[in-house]
Amino acid sequence: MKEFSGALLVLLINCHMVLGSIIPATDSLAISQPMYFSSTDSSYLYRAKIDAYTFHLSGIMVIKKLDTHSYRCAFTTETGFKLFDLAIDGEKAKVMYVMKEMNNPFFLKLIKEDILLMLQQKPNPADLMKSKTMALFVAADTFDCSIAKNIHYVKVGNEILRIQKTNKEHIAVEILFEERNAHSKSNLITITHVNVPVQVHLSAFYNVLEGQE
Amino acid sequence: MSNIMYIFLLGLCIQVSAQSYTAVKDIESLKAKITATNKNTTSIQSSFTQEKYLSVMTQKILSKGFFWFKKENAVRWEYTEPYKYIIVLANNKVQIKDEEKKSEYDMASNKSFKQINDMMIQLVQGTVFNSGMYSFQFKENAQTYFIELTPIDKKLKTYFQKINLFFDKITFDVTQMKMIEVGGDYTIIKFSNKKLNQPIAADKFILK
Repeated sequence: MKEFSGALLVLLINCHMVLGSIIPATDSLAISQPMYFSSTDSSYLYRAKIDAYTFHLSGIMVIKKLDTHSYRCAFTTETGFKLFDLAIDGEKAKVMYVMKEMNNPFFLKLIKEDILLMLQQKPNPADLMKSKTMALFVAADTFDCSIAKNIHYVKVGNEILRIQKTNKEHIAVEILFEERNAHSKSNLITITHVNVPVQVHLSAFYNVLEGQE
Repeated sequence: MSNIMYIFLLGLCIQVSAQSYTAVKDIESLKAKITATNKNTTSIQSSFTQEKYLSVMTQKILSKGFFWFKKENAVRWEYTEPYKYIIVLANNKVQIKDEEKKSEYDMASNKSFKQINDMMIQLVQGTVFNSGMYSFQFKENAQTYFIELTPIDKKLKTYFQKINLFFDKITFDVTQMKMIEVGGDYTIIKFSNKKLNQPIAADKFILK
């Protein structure tokens, strides 16, 4: 499966796949629930590496679901200094805090859009369509390929494997969810910007004391 | 338990905790003892635990590792759990080893990094009294001196609301520090198994 996903990613990046015809989604697609970051009981902890052009940043990303539509996303260095803190409400992200040195409009716009895309796992069913073109690239009897507005969702059953944001019919940003576990958590998330050298790697870790998962 | 009762009991606990420290009467004597201890300290080796409290989280983020300091200003923080991360600050350079990836920066090119590094060294060494960057409050209980630092330096004020240092009453060295950010989130670093003035090889401060 991993090899297949990797091969598909390479194919998608190299070909700048043109996304085409769409048909209305089936009911099974429309009623799907968000997979990841769905628990309000605990926080999600990730080692994060952000590479944007020549800029490299590593640290800890904490994502906490507060209620149905709102999240907080904080980023600290490994040594404990908080760099930024975002409040996410529906499709909006607000900067609650940013360290002066990180207060760059380009960086903040990029990170806000990526986090919003990563958390957008439950599109409005009315917007959801089934993507025929995507179905050509993956086994249609195994994967659900749906599209809402300009965001594609590739799923197996209820599990989202990847989210793709398109721009003028080309893939602009792709998010891969790997190492999914039984607790609705993806332990390895990669956000790749296809047209610009920007990549975000998130790797889950477990708190030493709580053994959080 | 009703919320009101809980808040009342919490308030009571905070009051009792605050009351357990009283103002130090002879501040100059305490400063002199801490300064004398620091003058005699050429190196520190210690285990540490780091607790990060974020208001958005219900639980703290805990990490562990080892700390080395060698006079004048060579520092190594090595995180071993739950991830491997080493940061060495020495010879005006910042070296970082993140898992297997190594990187190096010139500390002079990043004034903020240098300022934070200088502050950390001053805190660990307890040499902050003459820095002119903080105002101080000195408190004590039976086992501990507790010194509360409030930044007066313009740049430090943008990072920290307060920094609390806890000194052992017998050895006069730092056992714990708490750094409270402007928004109220904070980090506690606790030192344990501390060894003073033991030789540390120079290559401890060179990442390979």
